[in-house]
Amino acid sequence: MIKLLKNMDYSIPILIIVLVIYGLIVISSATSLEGSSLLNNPFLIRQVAAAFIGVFLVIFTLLFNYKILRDYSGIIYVFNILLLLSVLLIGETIKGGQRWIMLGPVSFQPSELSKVLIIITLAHLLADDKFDFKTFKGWIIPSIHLSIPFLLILRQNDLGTALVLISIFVGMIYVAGASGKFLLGSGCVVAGGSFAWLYAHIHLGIPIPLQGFRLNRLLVLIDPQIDPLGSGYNVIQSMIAIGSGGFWGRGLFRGTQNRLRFLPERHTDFIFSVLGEELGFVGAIILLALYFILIWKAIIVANESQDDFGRLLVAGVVSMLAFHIFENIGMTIGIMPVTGLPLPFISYGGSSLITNLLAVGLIINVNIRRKKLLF
Amino acid sequence: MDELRLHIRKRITFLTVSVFCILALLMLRFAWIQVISNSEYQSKALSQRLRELKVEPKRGIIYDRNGVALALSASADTVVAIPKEIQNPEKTASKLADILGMSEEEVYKRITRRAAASYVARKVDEDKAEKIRELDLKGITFTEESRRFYPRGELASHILGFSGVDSQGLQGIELSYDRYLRGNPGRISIESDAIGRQIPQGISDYSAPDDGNDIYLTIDNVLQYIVERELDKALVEHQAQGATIVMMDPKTGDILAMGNRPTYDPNNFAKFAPRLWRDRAVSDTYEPGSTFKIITTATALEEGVVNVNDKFFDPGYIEVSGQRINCWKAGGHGMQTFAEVVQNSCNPGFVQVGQRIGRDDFYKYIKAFGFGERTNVNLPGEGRGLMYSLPQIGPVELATISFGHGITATPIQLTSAVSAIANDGQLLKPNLVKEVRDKEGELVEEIQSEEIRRVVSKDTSKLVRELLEGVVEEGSGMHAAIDGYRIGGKTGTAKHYGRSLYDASFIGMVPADDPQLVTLVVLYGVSSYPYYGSQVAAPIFHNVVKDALRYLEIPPNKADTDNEEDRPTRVEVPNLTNLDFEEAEKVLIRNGFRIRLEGEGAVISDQIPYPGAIVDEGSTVILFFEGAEDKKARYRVTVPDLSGMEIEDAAQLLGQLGLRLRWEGSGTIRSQSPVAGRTVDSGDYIRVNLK
Repeated sequence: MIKLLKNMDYSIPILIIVLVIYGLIVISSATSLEGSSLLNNPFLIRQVAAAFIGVFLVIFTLLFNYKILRDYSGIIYVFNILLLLSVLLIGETIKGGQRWIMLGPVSFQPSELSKVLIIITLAHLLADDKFDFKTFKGWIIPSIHLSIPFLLILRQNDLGTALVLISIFVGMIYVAGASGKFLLGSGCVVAGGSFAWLYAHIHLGIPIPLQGFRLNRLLVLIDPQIDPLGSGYNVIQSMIAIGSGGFWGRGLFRGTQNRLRFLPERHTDFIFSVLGEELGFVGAIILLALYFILIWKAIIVANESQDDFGRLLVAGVVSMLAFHIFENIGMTIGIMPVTGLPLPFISYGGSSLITNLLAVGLIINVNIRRKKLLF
Repeated sequence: MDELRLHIRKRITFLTVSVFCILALLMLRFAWIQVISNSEYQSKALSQRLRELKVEPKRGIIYDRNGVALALSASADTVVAIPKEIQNPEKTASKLADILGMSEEEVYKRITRRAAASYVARKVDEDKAEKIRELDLKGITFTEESRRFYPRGELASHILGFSGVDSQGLQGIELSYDRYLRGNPGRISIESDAIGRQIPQGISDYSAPDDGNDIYLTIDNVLQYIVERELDKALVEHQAQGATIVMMDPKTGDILAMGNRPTYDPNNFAKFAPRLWRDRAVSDTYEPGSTFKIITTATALEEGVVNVNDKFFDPGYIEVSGQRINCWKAGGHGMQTFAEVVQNSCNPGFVQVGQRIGRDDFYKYIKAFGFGERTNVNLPGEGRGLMYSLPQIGPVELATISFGHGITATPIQLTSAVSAIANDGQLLKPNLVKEVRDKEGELVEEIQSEEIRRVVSKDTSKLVRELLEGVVEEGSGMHAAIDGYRIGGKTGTAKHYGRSLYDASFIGMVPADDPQLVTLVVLYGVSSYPYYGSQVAAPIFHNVVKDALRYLEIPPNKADTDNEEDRPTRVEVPNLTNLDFEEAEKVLIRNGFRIRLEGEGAVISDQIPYPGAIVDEGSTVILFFEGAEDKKARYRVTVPDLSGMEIEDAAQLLGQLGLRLRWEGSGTIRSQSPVAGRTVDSGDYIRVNLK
């Protein structure tokens, strides 16, 4: 084990620790109340606890070679589906999404864990069999593999996570050999088509078969003023927050958008708006730089991986993180629709933090076992 | 395998690059909104957390020329509801509705509005506010707003105008000088959070309001009082639709007093019909009739087409283009000099004078005197008057205009035109405002008298004044005469077309050799007899100007005192109640009174003035028959300001007005009840305290 640690690229755990601390700082500002000290801020305590749990879990998983996951792939897949089904049966509904399972005093969001589980099983599938993505047949099995959890998550009203699954899928099949041009092309067609449809809806009244609030979230992307006090409110307030932050920011605990509660969901989905307001352009760029280095290091890990399974695992995790980052920050600055995706390592939320730590744990696992051990 | 490795490397490089591109895209967006659009978003953030409250400035005071306040602002409470804090809206609404005299539903609607705060009632009376305060209702608070108050009631109401609930001028000087009076509002900025709660240690910025400037009018409140008193009396003694008096200082163009009847109380302007708000003296036109002959006279003399001693013959009529124009005197005035034509106000004579002047020159002079144009006296809604255009004036029109028919003018136009003659031929712009001063009393603007143009020469003016003096001494204006003063003036009577209604007027200047006052009296739509300007308007002029001269301490300068015996002796009014009419008539005629009757019957039930009042010989006594007491309401009078007067003077003044006096103490009058400006029944008692 000690020898394995010698292989480790320490920049990855250091980056994670820095990101988590960065997150804790912003959370403390977003949740602090007048006159109460940091030490009895319940949000901060819970987030720190989740971080410790996550770290212990990661250390525990590092004891095992990631390859043994392949032996349990079938069980993991079935477990994943049962987990998602259980949400539909006994889940709690919060803010329009049925995503939570209560385990005594602890609530838990299975769709978070589900993302990592799908990375593992999909990596096994793609590493095991060689699919020919040039033919339609080659797409069938991976697509079916994805669609069952995908549909279950959609059923929970969780469009954001469903989109994460798609981005994981796209990232992994690209690494597994699918045509980049094809993926890029179809991505552009889908995105362009959606935009064209939205424009047509706004200006020509062409109907879109989506639930009202979800449709509005898309519509306000084109013009937040369509619904300034409803769906557009979050985006408008978020942009005011970030925009008023300026180059250096207004200072921690001093953002008026944050302190005066103009910002909605400021410790979870819109935490980046608090960061942008209080730490400014500089704070935002530092965050992006941390993310970029993390992803860059992860891609190096993938490159150096012993086997395709490891490479695909890392590719899946990278896709997941990248999509989360892009979607979450994108929505706070009005270039992506509003979905409930947290900002990795920064947003308040135990399930998300632990899942992300476990996912990075997979990268470290692949990293420390990149070379054949010389006994 | 190597090929595959290479393949994978390529893909990984591509992935890295695309992640970098995505992050770069975000970074560009940050740069755009955080660095480039930063100030725009900062102001958005600021504006959504700052609530601005306006602080009303205090409206400027309107003073008369001596600094007596005629319009001022006092603070009044406005009842404000904070809907979120109200616990029991139904109960609160019913309690408030009771006190405020509003409907319960209305109050309920106002206190349950979805707003941070909502007006329940603005500028309520002190006692109502006090009652609401005592209830101590949750969520009901007060803010102070200023409310306009006119301490003298109806006095000068048409000049002052009034302002609305938001302290905006709506009429009169309040409107035309609104930008001076209004001031600039201050503001309080309060920082508040997304739910609208004020932040205790937030920004809270106060900029004090810039209070309005004070206006000093050219009006003298005493002269204005005299004018209004005579207007009231005029409508008591004559049946007329309305009346106007304008008094002007011809040397400066200052309007010293100006009033109309009917009038209104600006404190409660909404209770009066809007037509009563009109300042007839400035807005409405009438046919000046013979008073316009002053203009004809001046033009003829200036142009040299007539000499004072030129002879004119009046057979009682004159024919112009086949139309016969009659003289008011049947049979005519026969042979007369031009001076006599003026004295006699002879129409055929003036037609001949007009013909001598000729259409083009006459038109030029009429224009030069300011007819057909606004005087720009700076009151809203000024009228221009109707005048034929030059091509429309044929021989008949020229003839009628010569004696003041077929042309209309506003009272202010005529007053300023005649003032030009009083001012040696120089036409001045009439002024209502002397000065504008700020709250510290510093002069902001001083309105200088403004010369418009020289209309006629000094010599002509002097000549015209001498002729007008003749009118008062020997002609139709005799009733205007005041002992010891040289007065020049002219009467006027114009019949309303097709109706038995007459506009009776008199315009005069005093002293005629060096005029200091020009006064116009007009009664509109007189329906009682007599209706002639000489009988109706000239005596009012006499009353107004006599008191004005005494107040202004303008000394008498007429040497002859042969009028000594003409000075009216003062007599006591006998008690006539319960006498039958014939007996009463006998008593009155014996004592030299004039009689006016109200109602029908045999026995007198009441009289004005009351028995025992001391009045001038020749005054009118109004007798009421049984059942006609309700008509007394028409004879209500305005209580004069007695403060500082000796008891004898007060008694005499009240007696003339038909009021009675009760007093306590000795010395000069300190206080009175009812206060000046109140309207009371004729014969009522006025209580005064002396000291």
